[in-house]
Amino acid sequence: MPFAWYAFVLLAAAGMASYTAGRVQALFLKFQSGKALRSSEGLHGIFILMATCLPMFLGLAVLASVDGPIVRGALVSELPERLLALPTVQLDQYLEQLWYLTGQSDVQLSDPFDDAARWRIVALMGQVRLVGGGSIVAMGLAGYWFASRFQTVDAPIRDYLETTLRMIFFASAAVAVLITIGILASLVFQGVRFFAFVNPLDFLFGTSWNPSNNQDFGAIPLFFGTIGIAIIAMAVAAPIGILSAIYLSEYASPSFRRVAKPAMEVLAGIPTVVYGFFAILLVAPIIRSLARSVNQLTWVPDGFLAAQPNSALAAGLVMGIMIIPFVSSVTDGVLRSVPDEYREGALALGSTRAEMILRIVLPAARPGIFAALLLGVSRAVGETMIVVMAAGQRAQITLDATSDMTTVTAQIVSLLIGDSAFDSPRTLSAFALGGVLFLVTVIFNLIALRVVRQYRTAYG
Amino acid sequence: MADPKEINMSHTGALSGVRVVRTRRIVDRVLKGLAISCVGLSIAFLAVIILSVVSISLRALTQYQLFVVLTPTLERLLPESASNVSDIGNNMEGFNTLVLEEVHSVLGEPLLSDSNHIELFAPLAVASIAEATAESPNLLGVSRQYRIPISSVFDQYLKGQIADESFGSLSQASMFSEMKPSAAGRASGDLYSVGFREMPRDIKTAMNRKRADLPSIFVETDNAIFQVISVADDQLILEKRVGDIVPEPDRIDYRVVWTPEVQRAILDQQIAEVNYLKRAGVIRPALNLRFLSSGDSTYPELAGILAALVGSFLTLIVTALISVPIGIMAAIWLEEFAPRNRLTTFIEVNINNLAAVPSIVFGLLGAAVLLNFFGLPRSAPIVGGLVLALLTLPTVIIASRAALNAVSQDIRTAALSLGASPMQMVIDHVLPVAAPGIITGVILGLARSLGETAPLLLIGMVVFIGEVPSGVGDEATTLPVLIYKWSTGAERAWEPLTAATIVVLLIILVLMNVLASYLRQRYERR
Repeated sequence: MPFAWYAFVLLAAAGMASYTAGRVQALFLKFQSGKALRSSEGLHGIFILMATCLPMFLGLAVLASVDGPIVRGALVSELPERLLALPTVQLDQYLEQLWYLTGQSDVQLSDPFDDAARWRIVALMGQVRLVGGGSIVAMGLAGYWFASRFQTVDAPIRDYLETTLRMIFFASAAVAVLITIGILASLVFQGVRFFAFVNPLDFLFGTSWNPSNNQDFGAIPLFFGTIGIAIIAMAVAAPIGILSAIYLSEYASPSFRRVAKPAMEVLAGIPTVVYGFFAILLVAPIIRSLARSVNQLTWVPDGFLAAQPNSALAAGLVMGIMIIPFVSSVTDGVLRSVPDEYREGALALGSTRAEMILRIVLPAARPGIFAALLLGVSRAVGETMIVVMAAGQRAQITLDATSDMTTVTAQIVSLLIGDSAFDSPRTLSAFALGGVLFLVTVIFNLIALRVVRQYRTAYG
Repeated sequence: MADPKEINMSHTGALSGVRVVRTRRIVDRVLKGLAISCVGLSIAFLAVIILSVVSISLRALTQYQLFVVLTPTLERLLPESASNVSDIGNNMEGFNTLVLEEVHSVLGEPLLSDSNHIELFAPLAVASIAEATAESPNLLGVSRQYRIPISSVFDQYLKGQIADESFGSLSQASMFSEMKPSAAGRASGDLYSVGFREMPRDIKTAMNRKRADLPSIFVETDNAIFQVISVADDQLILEKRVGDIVPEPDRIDYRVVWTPEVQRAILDQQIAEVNYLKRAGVIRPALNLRFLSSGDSTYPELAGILAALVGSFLTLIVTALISVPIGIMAAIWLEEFAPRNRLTTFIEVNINNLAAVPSIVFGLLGAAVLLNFFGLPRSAPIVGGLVLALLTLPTVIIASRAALNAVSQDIRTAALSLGASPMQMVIDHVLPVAAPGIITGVILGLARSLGETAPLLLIGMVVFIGEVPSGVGDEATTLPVLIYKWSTGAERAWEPLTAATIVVLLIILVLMNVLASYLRQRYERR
């Protein structure tokens, strides 16, 4: 990317020049007036540097993101009728190919027009970047000129700098809001385009999912698979996670806790693709052979269990293992924040440890545990790699957990993993599914966070 | 909290009172037992996952290779049409022929694998030799030993992954007739017989199997390999598969391949040939260094992780460059400057929420906004890094806030009372104290992003990358995506490679975590 290098060199040069200029100017002021500067000359330099480089940096970012579309627009306006008459997809492909070929200067194109068009792209790109680069330099000079007018002996340069920094810090925090807006915008925008093709009711309540024919977009089988696998996962994660947390917070000695807690948290640090590999390597074959031996029992009808190589059960069980540490660490935190007076009171009244836990501590911690489970479910619903690798691709509604099922996340991946032209309902449906997923997980998280916060204020 | 039922029961008599106490104790013990077994179970899961992956990855550590002495010469390798010496770098066929001639000179006859079925080695396996020769022509005309990885099917067979086998030795003492051309020999004269006082049990069991899953039995000496085609009383009728007959060999071994020929990817003749080459020392196991030094390939024996490793690194750099400064600055604002108002609460809720949004949603964001709207290149580390930066940002912010929050209030008060401005206080006094904690959080966040797969699938990073990417704009893939790609490979040979890639990824993650906890401990000691 030579453009990035040019940009970097330009910024670095402008930075050094403006810092030196600001500093020299401050020193000049100091000796001219014979008085001490209110802000040190270094701060003057940084102030001028920021005033010069910030507009240039923003300008470069804008230029980098709009130069492609501008050149493209200019090129399209120059294309002859015969190309403009092409359908949009073909035109896009043609342009993309030309674009790719601009980098291959040693390749000779057979069609003289294509060859000319290719060099036209290079020329246009050069023009846009020249004009853009020129205006960026002008912006830098303007910033320098504007800021240098503030340089006086008793100018509160430090206050200016601090205000600017504070604004930058605030802008950084606001990026989080921007991300949310970006997510919402892309999901809503593409989702609306999808619902122009497909009735929302058919999407939400239809029972047939077959996106390859661009017709059947009934998402119920996906919701069924998602919920089913999440239930299997929680059936593993909830008891093991809660009981582990009970041991760690109520029984374990501090030294055991110091070892066991990080060991359990390692489970949370393993990438999910590793769990997926584990599922297809070990768990799915075991489940398949178990299901086959169940089928061979005399009192079981032939083919009672599907016994597929990929199964909802395999994905669910492994996902359960993955979720254990999430449930246990939140539950552990919740249990530890139950005041010790409760425990001491229960024990003093003669209850055993088990009675204390089951009748006093757990009821007191109930909302927090609920929140932990909710966070676990939200993980299970949003988990992708395990289901992509181990659950299968067939959208079906069945109670047989040894058959393959598919989920919302697995379908999003299979819809977008290949080529993604953003105009077929097939591709757009991924965004509708993503919208449902986002909505559900956000609601779960908001409830869970709220419950945890209320719980904290109750015992805090 | 007295339970009325319990009080009633304890009033029914001393004996039942004892029983009640006993049940209560049992409940206590059961709960404790259950709880600790759940902790044990979680740790056992961890152990099973790690052990199973590591044990499979060990199979990828070594690789069977052809050790052949080649003499590449200009006359043999320069195509007629070519003018430049460097053109021999593209002459795969020439190098292939050289290697095959070498192998034939050992086997004494053309390989079955030459003509049909699987080749002994992939045509591309000589590519690195061809390139090296083209680059340094002083290798021309020199006889040197070269190593060529054999085809993964043969490799897997030799590692015992394709067929069940049992071996044994036929001691001389049990033989009562030497090998000789059989009376029933065909025109080719390839039939021989050998007899025993006592037939080995494996062979007996094998010959009693049904015709449909009849095992293949081989009889091997150092110079020749035969296949058993029938048994007559105490004699084995053998057909020579490969090699020369020595009338009185030192040692005779047998090999029973229990998996019938139709159920495996490798033919009887190929088994004979590959075992012969192994006995002759032409095929030897060697460390699979290519795994760490080359890019992806369509042939498992030639595939490596270097391209994905570099891709992961580039992506991580982009992620860090974007998420770390923004995250720390956001944390400083929220922790030190933010006024208590609705806007701040809204931003905080937003960040907490983003931390729990499924990663695939960020992939959708990348596909729709970065690829479709801004037209950034597909499969590039810059896009992958951007998406992962957005994904990691909340984690970095939350960790940095915790670190800033842990800084003693006294430091702030002292700095302010000595006349520092709030900004000076933060930058000169709070930030240095919080730095180790922030770095710890940042490393952990980056470690998580290094293992992320799903969002990268949506922005096209699951592509075939044979060449090491040279910049953030090139097509690239990352380690987790490579794991996903290889794990869906049809051939079983991908399995150990996938496991080995996972081990590499886990080692990197462990190192990052060790670094983070080292920093945290140093920080706590201060």
